[in-house]
Amino acid sequence: MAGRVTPLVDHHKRLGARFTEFGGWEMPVQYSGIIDEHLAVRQGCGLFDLSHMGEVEIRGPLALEFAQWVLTNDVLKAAPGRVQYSLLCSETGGIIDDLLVYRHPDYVTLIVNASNTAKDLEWLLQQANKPPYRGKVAIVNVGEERAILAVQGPKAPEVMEAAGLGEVLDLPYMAFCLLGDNGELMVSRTGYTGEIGYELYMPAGDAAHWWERFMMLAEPMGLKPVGLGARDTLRLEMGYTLYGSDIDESTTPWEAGLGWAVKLSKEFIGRDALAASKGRHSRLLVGFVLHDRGIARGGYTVQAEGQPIGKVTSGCISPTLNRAVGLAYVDISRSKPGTPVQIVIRGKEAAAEIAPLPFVPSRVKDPVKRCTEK
Amino acid sequence: MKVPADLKYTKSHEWTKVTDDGIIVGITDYAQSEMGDIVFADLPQVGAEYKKGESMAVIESVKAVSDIYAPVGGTIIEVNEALVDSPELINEDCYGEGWLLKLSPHSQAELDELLSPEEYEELLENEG
Repeated sequence: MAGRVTPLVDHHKRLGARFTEFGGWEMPVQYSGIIDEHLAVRQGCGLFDLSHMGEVEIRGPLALEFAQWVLTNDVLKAAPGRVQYSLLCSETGGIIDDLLVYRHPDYVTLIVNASNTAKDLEWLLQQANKPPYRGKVAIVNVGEERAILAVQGPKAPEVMEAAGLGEVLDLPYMAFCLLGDNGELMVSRTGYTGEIGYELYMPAGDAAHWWERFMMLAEPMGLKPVGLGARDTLRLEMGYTLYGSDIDESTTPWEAGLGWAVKLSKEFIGRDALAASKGRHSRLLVGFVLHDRGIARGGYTVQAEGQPIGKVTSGCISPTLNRAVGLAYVDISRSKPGTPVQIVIRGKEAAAEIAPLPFVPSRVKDPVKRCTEK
Repeated sequence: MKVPADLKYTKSHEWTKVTDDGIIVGITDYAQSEMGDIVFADLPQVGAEYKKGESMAVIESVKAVSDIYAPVGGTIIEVNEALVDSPELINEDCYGEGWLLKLSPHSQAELDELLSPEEYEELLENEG
């Protein structure tokens, strides 16, 4: 294998996984099949190895002030024990990365995209070297020694309970706790699927133990291992953006529909550019459904009345809806749900329509029921 | 991977079967397995003509788009209409119900250049 591998690579091989290169990593793209795995997450429970994602800690006496300076969202609005979606933006307001911030009392953990880990680290170190942060902030790349699993789906709470992690059922959406004798296991109620779910961050040496413990529940609870293929179709049904496909340094949070994660009321890198560009963007990231047969893939042209109005950034057949859906940047005047458009697929125009997001209702905030009394 | 002995193959993983009125074309077990869940087949019009090696159809799985190349030059005389509603037939029965199209070859010489089952198996071993 050409790329880096996670501590669980042999487990994936034994399960017959097919691998793909992603962000410099050799990752399982599918086990039983993308559609089968997708539906397992929507109807039961899926287990993911996400150890390729980056895990970076910002520590030191000015850790929170620094986080507030480099991130677009208001870190201080997140109480300790809470998770917040945020962006790293450049001075010009381009998106360097999108990430999750885990707020600890006196430091934060950032969970970043695998393909951006090296770039983010370089950017953060550069910023941390400037006054007043120089010597008062440490950027620690802890991801090298860590593994990440996700348990996602309506049966995820049951599975967590059966695996001996019943205490996490008390977590509301976007909250986390530290478990284990030394708090080495961080579990959050978060995910990228639109289902109730949990993400587990642990020392790399514990990954096999937890993977095997969850896989023992495969038979009795209908849990299935899920690869990056279904991870992509699951996130697309929710309209969640993927860095590198739907957002990058050439897109602003406004046009990507991520303005809710930008707080202009505070000072941060890129604030002035973003304040100036707010409300002035000419394109918008929207969802669309295809009426004709076919699949609209990233890069295809979107037209209205024969004129090009934008580009598809992500597209697939939604396994839940059994129809082609996708995300596209379109001219803002054509961005309203219901607007008829055409997607050019191999030279032919296919009828499509701008559609509201998500394509499938989100269940991330559904209440969690316990099987057993505490 | 199944490689039936009565078929001929291409390096791009199509299979062909010679019949009285033309040759039937499909994709091999290896190809369907590599692609994963097939969700769409874009088949050519009957009457369309292709040179050997030209893309004449497109098959899409959840993950990828794959061209299907003409194993020999010829004219399309029939396409498998069942794939319009059930593209998964290609995964389920790639050598039977999941056939793609039938074409009338332009020359006998190109038919002789196709790979034998033994040659195709050797190719798969080298890819594997």
